[in-house]
Amino acid sequence: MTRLRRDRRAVSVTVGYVLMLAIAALLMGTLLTAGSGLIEGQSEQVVDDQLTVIGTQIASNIHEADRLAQVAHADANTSSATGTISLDVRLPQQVAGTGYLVEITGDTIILRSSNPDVNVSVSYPETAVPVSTTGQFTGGDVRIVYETPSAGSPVSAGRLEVEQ
Amino acid sequence: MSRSSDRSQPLVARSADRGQLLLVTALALAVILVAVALLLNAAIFTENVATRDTTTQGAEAIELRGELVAAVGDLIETENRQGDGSTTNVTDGIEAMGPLVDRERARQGVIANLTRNGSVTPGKLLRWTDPDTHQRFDPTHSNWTLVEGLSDSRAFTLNLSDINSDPGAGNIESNAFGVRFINSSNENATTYFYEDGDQIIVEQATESTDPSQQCAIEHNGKNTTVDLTGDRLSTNSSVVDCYRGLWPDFDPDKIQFRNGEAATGTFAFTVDDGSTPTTDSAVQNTTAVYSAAVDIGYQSSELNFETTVTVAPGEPQ
Repeated sequence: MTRLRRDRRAVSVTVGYVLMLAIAALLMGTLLTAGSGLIEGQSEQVVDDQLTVIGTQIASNIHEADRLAQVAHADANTSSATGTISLDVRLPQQVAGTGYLVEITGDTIILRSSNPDVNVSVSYPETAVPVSTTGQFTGGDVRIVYETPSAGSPVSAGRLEVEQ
Repeated sequence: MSRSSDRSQPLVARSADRGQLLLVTALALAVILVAVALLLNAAIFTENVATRDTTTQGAEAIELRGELVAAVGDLIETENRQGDGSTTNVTDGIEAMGPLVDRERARQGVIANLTRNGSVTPGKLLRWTDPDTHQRFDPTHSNWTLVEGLSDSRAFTLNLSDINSDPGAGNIESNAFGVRFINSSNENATTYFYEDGDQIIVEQATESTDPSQQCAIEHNGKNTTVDLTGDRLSTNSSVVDCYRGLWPDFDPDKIQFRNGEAATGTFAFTVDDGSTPTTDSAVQNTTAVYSAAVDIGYQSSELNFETTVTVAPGEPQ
């Protein structure tokens, strides 16, 4: 038995080395593939979640501005003076390390990121004062501005201007 | 590398070669794990933000506006009831209130402004000549005009201590105590009051519709306060909001009492300076403040809200 252990005939160092390299490379490849797949999936999920939260934040602040605008409008109708609102919404410039675009329509906020390619829509109930934006803007802080229309105008004559 | 050279390498060197491969794999895995940790951190932050109230202080701004409107309204009403209805006193009061508001809100990191906008509007307060003495609403006539040529009016309240019983269907318009509102086109609406057991019943009729019940309140033998501009009935133990309304849908030009002999009580009514109240000696017409316009501002790090409010407490909605 001891003799067999000491016997090095027919043992190839090269074959052993190649086998070891192959197994290590296979293991590394498997781990990297599985890991990058995991990261990709998780990254997409996180971006989706963050865009949804940002959309909800914008929607709730639009409603906050709408509520204030209705109060200012009612006051302006009785006093014939002008009321103004300027509301800053603090938003991140990137989500999970990637930039995004925001587009606001009448009752939906659409948020898009290109890497990973995620598209999120957040709908919000119609506001008394219509929302107005100029196309889409990049992620980051947003300002909602309102000025009461001339006295006697209906509340829908005003505009909640959402700008970067 | 030849076989002989492999053999010639020391064992430590060959082990180091294998170690390099493992090291590279370990580094790659470490990068992946750091990326996963960063993503997890982003996810936790997102959950945190999602459960936070991220709206600006809109509710606080509306609350401040409400508090200041109530404060200026109280100032006007105090001046009208306990002072001599001087517009100068109200002007001075508002100017004194401004710095107090600013100082109080500064403690919360907010800039708040209250400033007068233009001059305070004068008006007239109509009451019985002896305002606290209850008397029948027919000083000279059963039906009589309290005021005409109205453009603005507010805070019309009756305090009824005695009121006739239900005159029966068909007799309400001819026998129940009522307040008639007539507009410039001669359209009218009348709010009638009568007692039914322990209740005061309020009905309303127009020239084209029969009286229909608006609301009722248990008076339990106590005085009943009717806030016609605020659509509310109250005693010292209960309050009833008349959702169907006590004030007419139109802007009245003239207000009359109908069947005045059917009720006893007091009243108070603030009208604009241009209106023409009755000259009956039973009614006193005193100088009063009708309204005051104020600029209200709320400024925080995220919100800037500015509005101008005309404060006329008790103006119909």
